[in-house]
Amino acid sequence: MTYLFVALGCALGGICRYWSAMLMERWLGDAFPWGTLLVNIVGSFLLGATLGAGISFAEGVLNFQRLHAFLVFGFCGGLTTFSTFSLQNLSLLSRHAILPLALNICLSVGLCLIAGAGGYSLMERWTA
Amino acid sequence: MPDCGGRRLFPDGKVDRLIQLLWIALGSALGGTLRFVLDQLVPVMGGFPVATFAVNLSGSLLIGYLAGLWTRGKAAAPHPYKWHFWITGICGGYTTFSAFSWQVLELINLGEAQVAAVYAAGSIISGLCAVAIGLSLARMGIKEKSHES
Repeated sequence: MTYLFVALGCALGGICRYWSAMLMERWLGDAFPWGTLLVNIVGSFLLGATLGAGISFAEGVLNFQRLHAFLVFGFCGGLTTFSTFSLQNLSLLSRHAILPLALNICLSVGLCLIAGAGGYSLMERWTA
Repeated sequence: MPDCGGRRLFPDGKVDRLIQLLWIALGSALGGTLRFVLDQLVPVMGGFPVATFAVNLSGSLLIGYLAGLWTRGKAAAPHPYKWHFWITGICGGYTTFSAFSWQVLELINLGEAQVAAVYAAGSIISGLCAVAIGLSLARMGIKEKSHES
């Protein structure tokens, strides 16, 4: 049953990721992978927020296991992507776009870490 | 496309876009479930998130291989649904950035800044190399095929 929640969340996340890639390409062009950067930041924030709200995989008094599976393994996992990030990095490298490559890596890691930590502390404070 | 007395049953393009989204959803669901299974099976070794590392590495290898197969000239271009199912769906749903960044945060929080740095840099550099390896594997396969014929 847990698998169903993971699969459903992932399917929704994947569709949102595709929409983000399409919209960002239409608005900002395809010189820089804005769409992937955006979904990775949003997904990291959501994951932090989910855990900050106390929705964990461990079985407790309130059984949040399925909600956690849906949100964390499903939606956040399906929304964010590492393979496309790597592919886009290689594509930038092969075009000798070293500055955008460095920018993509630094922005992705830096902003996703900030988003994850921010989401966690925000929800932790809010639900406390 | 079904035709009803000269009028199309479906407005042009809309059904295509819907089917495209369904392929992405199906691929993502399958890829994500596989990631979840691996995450449950593979334990964390020495504080290092092996499962996510392996998932992101193998997913990058696969996306490189498929991109190598399908971006070599017009003849190699696959049906759009195939690209959406495999690359946007399976590879995208299988790999994850949110778990990756959360694990880096956890390692930093545990005071393991060095492990966090090795994990982050290792994932990004090996992901980049995996795409390159997958790409050249696909190109080698195509060359061999064209030599045979």
